[in-house]
Amino acid sequence: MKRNGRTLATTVPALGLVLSLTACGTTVSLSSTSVTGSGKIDTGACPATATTAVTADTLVLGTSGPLSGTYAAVGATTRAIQAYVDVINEQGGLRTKSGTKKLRMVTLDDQYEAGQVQKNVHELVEKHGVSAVVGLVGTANAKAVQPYLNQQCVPELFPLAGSASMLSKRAPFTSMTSTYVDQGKAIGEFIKRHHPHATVAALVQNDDTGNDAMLGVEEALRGSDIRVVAKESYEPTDADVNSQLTTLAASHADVFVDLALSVKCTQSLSLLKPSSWRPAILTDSACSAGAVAAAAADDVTRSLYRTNVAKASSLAYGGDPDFQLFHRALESRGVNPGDGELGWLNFQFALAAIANADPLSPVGIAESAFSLPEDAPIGFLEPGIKLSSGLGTAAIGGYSLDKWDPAHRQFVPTGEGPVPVS
Amino acid sequence: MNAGVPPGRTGTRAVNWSAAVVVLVLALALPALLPAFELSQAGSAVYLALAVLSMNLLTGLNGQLSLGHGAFVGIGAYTVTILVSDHGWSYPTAFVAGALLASAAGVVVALPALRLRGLYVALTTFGIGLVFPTLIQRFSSWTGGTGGKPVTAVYVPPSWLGLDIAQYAYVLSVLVLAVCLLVVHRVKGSRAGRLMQAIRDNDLVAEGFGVVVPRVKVATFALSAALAGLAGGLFALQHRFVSPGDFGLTMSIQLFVGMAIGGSVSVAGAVLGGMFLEYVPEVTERVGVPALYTPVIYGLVLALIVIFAPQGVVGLWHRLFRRRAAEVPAEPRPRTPELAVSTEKGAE
Repeated sequence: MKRNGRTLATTVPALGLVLSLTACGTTVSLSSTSVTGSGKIDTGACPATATTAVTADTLVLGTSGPLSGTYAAVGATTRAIQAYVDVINEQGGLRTKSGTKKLRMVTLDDQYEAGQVQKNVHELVEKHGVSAVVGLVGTANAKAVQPYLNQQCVPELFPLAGSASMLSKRAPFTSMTSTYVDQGKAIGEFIKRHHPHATVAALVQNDDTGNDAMLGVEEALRGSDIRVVAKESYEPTDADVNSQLTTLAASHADVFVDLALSVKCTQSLSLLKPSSWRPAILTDSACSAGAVAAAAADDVTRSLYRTNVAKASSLAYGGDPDFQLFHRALESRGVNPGDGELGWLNFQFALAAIANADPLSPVGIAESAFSLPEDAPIGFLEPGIKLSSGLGTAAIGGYSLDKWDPAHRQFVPTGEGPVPVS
Repeated sequence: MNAGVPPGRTGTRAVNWSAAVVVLVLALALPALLPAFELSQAGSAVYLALAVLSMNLLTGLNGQLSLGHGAFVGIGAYTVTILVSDHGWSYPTAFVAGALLASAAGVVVALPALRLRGLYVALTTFGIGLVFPTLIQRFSSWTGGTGGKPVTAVYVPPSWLGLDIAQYAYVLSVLVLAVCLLVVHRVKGSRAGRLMQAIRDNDLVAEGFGVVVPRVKVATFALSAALAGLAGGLFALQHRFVSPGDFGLTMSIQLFVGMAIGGSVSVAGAVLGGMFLEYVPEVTERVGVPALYTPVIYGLVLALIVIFAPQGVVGLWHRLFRRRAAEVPAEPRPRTPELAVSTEKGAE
């Protein structure tokens, strides 16, 4: 009893002190900051470092990616970026409007965990004073640091994420190359062009990746004769998509829009093998060449098309200097080129933004990222794809629908030219 | 005042309390001493310490193993995020709601676990840790799904404190941790704590002495889950963004490692465990060990701890301290588990 009384005597006042200190704060909803006017960022709320031009010979950039853990394989994109930095420095540096600058890339491991990405980005900004954070991997990870980077006025350049919700005029320090909505629009336009009276069946991953892309498909198909006759969704954590495929196959639709991600894409293609359904298949960047090849479904994939933006095909671009540089750089560092394409391309966008920035300050780089000129040097981009500029829009203004070549296990341009989306 | 307590022990207790007060004062002074990034690291160590403390209570004090505590941390974090961002709740009330919801989830997990022991309880909780990210994705309209959910409100300190938002979040986290450490310490020495320990040491004997084992086990699980939920609330307060990946099995296993390394029966061990989890990956990277090998280092350290210091760093410290202070009569040592794993007998 005596002991319990003493317990109360010490615990209750301590609890009271903490409660009173806790209660004296105010919960305040965040309002938007850094609004724009005529293409310039309002820097009123930015720290002084954000508007200070870099005068040193070296520009410090930062990135974070899954170099270890369950998703370490995805870290190939981060290693591709480091390989690109090495190439630039070996060539003497990056030519910018403020002179040639060597690049120093601070690379941190986040194990694909948003909490760790936040820690890393805090470290990059506060400890290393980076001028921009480039090539973050994953929508959740890129979104987790978006408010902080926009508050600190540090550009978040071209993360490997595709959620349209990240693009906003209220987040001018975030720039993106492409969105899943735009890829969906390109798929929809392709269907209108080649199958104007088709019936469509769709498999959608129930998250930003799949839902955004389906939104784009439906937007593009609106007002056409094309009907979506079956739509099945699955959760990212579902073990398989068997039941969904059974339902979709029963629809015998002319076109199958396969918006499944990675392994589920492989499964969906593989599951078509025993069925008699042989639709034209359209997919987006969520289904990589590796995922299609793993399905080993040559009979099914003869009429498979995927949205594409990079010079990834050795058949079409084997002699292209940008393709060769990319392959040489990655292979010499032990990175599989097939896993590093988007990391390389997105970093090329970031380099173009930095090279074009005037002044070469974090704010200048952010402004440059959403106003890239049409002739910006993005050598790894498929020919004919126009750049789009402006706050709240992705930088890529169109997509090629490349055809799967089962013999060579790669997507190959059809020569038809890209489908514009904006 | 301390009738019946040996003088040596009274002195040790006074030293311990003085040290605790000094550490608390130092921790509260950090916002004035550290730059923002280092302070955010210290803040992470604080909520990790609270999460490890919740494991200490469950495993160290009561002998129940959990490999899914990341889920309870996640419940607290998501509750605070949703209530503050979507429903306009204030942070303090959302913290309470988060702790209560996590506690309720703890009761739900504890009830079936009553029929199991040792590693079988661990496997049940392992399932909870495994399924939690899936649940978050199932309820994506509330939780933001795989894309995560930002906390769209900040907790602004009163101007007289002279702190910015991040500093205030840190100070509150330290105070919450301090109170929770005090509560667990007091529980440990209370009648309830002795009941928990009796069950840990031998539940059949405890039952024979009239202890209502299921009730104590469920209550311990509920309290432990509430502390984990509170840690999740602090996570949301500091990070202002939650995503399923943050509360997966990796976190659960890290918390287990933190508990084993700090010492499962000591509240100070929880603080050491939290610091280990926050700072060791950074230190290993600094000395040139690639991040890829961090889990290997965790495993190695864990193996060394189990072999050479089964009561964790705090237990090792006590052992060394006692050896040196041989002239001080040793206090009677109650039977405590080394790691709770070793005290359990498996399912019956």
